[in-house]
Amino acid sequence: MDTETSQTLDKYAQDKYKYGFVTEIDSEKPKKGLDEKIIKFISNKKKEPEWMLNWRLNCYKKWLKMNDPQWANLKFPKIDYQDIYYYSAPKGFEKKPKDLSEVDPKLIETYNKLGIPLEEQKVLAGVAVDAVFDSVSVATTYKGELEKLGIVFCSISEAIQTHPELVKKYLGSVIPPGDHSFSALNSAVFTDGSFVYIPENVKCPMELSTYFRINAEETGQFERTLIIADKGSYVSYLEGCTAPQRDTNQLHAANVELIALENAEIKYSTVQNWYPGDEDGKGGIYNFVTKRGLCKGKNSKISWTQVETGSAVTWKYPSCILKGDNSIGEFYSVAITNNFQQADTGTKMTHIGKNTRSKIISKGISLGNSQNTYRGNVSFLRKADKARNYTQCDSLLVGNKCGAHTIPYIDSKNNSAIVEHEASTSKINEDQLYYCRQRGLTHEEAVSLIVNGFCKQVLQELPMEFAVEAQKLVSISLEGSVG
Amino acid sequence: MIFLNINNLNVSIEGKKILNDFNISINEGEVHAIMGPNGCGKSTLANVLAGNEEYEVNSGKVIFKNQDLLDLNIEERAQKGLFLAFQYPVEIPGVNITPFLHASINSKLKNEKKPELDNLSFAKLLRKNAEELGISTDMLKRSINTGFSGGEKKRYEILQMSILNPELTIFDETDSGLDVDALRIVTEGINRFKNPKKSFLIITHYQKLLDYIRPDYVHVMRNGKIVKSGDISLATEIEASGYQNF
Amino acid sequence: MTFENNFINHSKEYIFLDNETILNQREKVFKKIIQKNYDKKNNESLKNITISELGKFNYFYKPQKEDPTISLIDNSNYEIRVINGICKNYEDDNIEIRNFTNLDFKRFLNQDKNNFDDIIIDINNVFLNSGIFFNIKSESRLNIRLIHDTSDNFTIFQNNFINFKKNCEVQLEDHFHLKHNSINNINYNIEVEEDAIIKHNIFQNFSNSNKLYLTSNTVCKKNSSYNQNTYNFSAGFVRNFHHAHLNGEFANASLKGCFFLKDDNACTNKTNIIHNAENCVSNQTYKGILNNHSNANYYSNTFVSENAQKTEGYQLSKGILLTDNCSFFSKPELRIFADDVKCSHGSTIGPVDESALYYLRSRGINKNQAMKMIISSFIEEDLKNLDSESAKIISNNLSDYLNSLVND
Repeated sequence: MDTETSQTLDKYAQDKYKYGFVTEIDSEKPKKGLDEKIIKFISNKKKEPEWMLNWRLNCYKKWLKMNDPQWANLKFPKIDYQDIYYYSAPKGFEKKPKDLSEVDPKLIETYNKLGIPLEEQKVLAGVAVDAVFDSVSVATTYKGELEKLGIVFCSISEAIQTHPELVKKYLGSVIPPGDHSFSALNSAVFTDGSFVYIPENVKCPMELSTYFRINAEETGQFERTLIIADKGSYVSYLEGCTAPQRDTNQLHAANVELIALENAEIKYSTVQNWYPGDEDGKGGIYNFVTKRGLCKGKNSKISWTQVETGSAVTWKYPSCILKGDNSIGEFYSVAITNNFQQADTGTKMTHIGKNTRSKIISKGISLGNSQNTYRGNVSFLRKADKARNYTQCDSLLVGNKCGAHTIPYIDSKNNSAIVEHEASTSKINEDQLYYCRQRGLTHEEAVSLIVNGFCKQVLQELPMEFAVEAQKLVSISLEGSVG
Repeated sequence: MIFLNINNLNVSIEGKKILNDFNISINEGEVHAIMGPNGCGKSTLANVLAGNEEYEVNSGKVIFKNQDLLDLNIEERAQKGLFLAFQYPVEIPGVNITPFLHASINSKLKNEKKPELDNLSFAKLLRKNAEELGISTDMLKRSINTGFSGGEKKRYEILQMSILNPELTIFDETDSGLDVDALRIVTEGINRFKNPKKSFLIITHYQKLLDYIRPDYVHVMRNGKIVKSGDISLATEIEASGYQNF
Repeated sequence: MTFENNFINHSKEYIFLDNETILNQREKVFKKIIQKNYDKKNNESLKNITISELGKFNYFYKPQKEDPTISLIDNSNYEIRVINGICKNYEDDNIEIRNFTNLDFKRFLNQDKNNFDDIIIDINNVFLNSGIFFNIKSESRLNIRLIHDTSDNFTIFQNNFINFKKNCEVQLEDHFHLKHNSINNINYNIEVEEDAIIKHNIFQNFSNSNKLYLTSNTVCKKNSSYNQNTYNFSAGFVRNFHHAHLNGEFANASLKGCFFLKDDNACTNKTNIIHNAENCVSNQTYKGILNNHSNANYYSNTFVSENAQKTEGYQLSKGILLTDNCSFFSKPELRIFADDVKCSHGSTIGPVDESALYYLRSRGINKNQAMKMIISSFIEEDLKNLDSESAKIISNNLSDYLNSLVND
């Protein structure tokens, strides 16, 4: 490696995180640790019906008997589940505020700082936002307009009260609580998250978005999102997240379930920017997320797009179960790891129905001392006639202290199904750098440009409003100095 | 002002000597052609001037616009007004020409302490130049050089030259792999761009290109140095009897 | 029979019986197997395997009646018949070959410990009853044909060492002539010294009552080249696990294979190449055709250590499934810790290309014939490098297989 490249790398290493501030606000927390009492406390806080509490307790019992999954290519100390706060809410949040005048101005200020204005006159055009602060939903914008179309967009706690039949029917139907320990844990203690229901033949006219913010110290965030797209409907949903800069690690274990009925389409995008820890690997979020979509009806489609730049440890595999005939699953991912970050991320495409199709495009970029793993599972079951998968996963290595790993599992039990898989790993192309620099770009600009080009196939899948943001985020993750 | 002066330049790659006490002087507004057989060091010269880090300069001096060129890195040379039209332009998937060239031109303007171009005026400039070169707007939407034919890539190089407006342009075997029509389009672009303030160094194996762009001087290069200099008649001589006489 | 019974009842028949260190080690490994003391994470030797099932065999090993032979066809062509794990001791200017003796225990102990926690290798170590030591001398140019003859009911647990000395150029062929109900657990430790060029072709074609577990662990030194090709036409179970370590600069290794399965047969394949030095090139390619109820696994892995800059590593797996009842699992892994690398892998699994089939049939070729042509073309590339005799063996095997496909 030439000296210039290593100088640029050194610059990268001084990554800065601009969302690292803390909001000084009194919060209400029960004692640390997990037992039945805490679960009852949470359920009680949320004024949940008895069936919900029983469901939680049942999941808790399952969790007690389980061990954390060990197969990922990740190293981190054993999580002490008794050393975590399972609930934290800004004081005075007995009930979700009716409007912003009831919300603590400090909270509104927090979201302003994050670039998510909640005030009516400033709200993002074309995007409805549900803002979640620690364990509670603070505000949801554009609610009225959506209601006119019959669209339900609210916090999951609210949905348990207002749409119990839908929650009962679908909660845990895609991710069974017994699937693995993180899903069982989340099912037992989830505090808030979003609920979306799009009625038959309604095309949701705006992006729905949830913005998660972990503020309180030593607090786990366990959000639960449930999106149901009824026959012939369409919705595009975006999730964003940040957390303050702290020395200790924090746990985030979310569950997201998507259900697409006949001819419905769900597009789910994530820009994950949790605090990644400092340049020595201290602090940062442990991000153990289970995201799974069920293409239940014929001709349904679920598409995941993720830009993963944050977290100290990422364990995340947004997946699709392609049950309905002709259904489509897609996964587009950019994962950038720097400093001492570790990411083990990918997807699982399970082809059950006939003529189902899936596409996986994954771009991994490793810098610093980080380890970046793509793990993907494509399987064709016996009845998946004429199913197809195309997978492309490319990794880029910048520097020689990091690692890039590609671990695909391909399992075909149907002879009319076709799977195609391509992967490559390489360093940044020196000829491309030379070409850009001959045209006057600096080394750093050239790297940023080439990496953005490398990710383009994925970034262009993001909704317009966020594609530009994501592009900037990619550059920031590389440079640290910009922004 | 000394525009370009190369004095006793010695260059090697992986220990192998390629340029051997190479000398040349180019003044403002002049068109020079360097011809030579394969492996004589022509492309090395182009890449050394652009600052390619694979080559090792052992000794010698290169003055460009009164400044020691060898002190500058790749992008600083480009910002100073040196443009290399590559023999094999590299494909950069996913990177569109608009942001790329916009950043390039602004880096140059910034270096010259001139105001940078905003999105709109750059888009106008790009479209105007592309139109003149017969490059469709569709081609502007594609990733740099990706999936382009040989001719398209070369036209793309000329487009970049016309936008970056360099004082010295080096053509590294721009004619290689071009059919007659593509060659005509490329040379028309070059001729349109020519003016008394611009200098050109044309590196080529064949005389064909020189039929379209009339050089002021023709040099013959062998074994890493210029062995004969003259006018266009030298090129005709080579066309007739090859390089063995030199 | 269980592991315990086999181990206790036959312990007098193994080799290295008078060496206490080895006896202790055996005891230890035996306990490890019994206690199932394995890290299951990423351990491909345990996939689709029940440890107790693996122990259900009847250990059987007796001194042979027939004599092993070694014949020189000419100065550079050797044919070596190994009978039930035993060879004829022999030495000339080119080659030295001999059976393990108890004096070789050090070599056995010191063999590359890096056997990737492989239960089959552990079993091999516990029941070890034969071993051959090959020494191919410097500068020699040889063709060696090695025939493994195993009699009815024999269980062979063999550990072989092949040392290809500097600058030799060798084509080594393994043929397996297995009678009935035999188990062959054979582990090769191969060392390829500087500038040596090795071609290793392995032909596997035996009846369905036999089992073959073939493992190899090859170390390549500077400027050396090791090319392995396995051709599996067996009706019996085959496990091919092959590892190569590129430890010297400018070395290259290629582990390739193809398999043709039918009926209820299964095979499991793994290739693993570890780049430890700069400027090395590796290639891993397995292709398989599956018919009836057969199933196959292929695990491949390219590991590039931190100092192995300028590595090129390629992987490819291709499977054609001919029926709805067969299955193919593939896991092509890349583990990369150096940045100046070019690594890639590709994998395709699917039916016979319908459009090619259509094209051929539209030219008047009947469906069966067209099918045969397409399947043949699938591995044509792999046959190119074979000498005429080997090519003949393969093409006969292939046409037998293709004829078995005809069903309409």
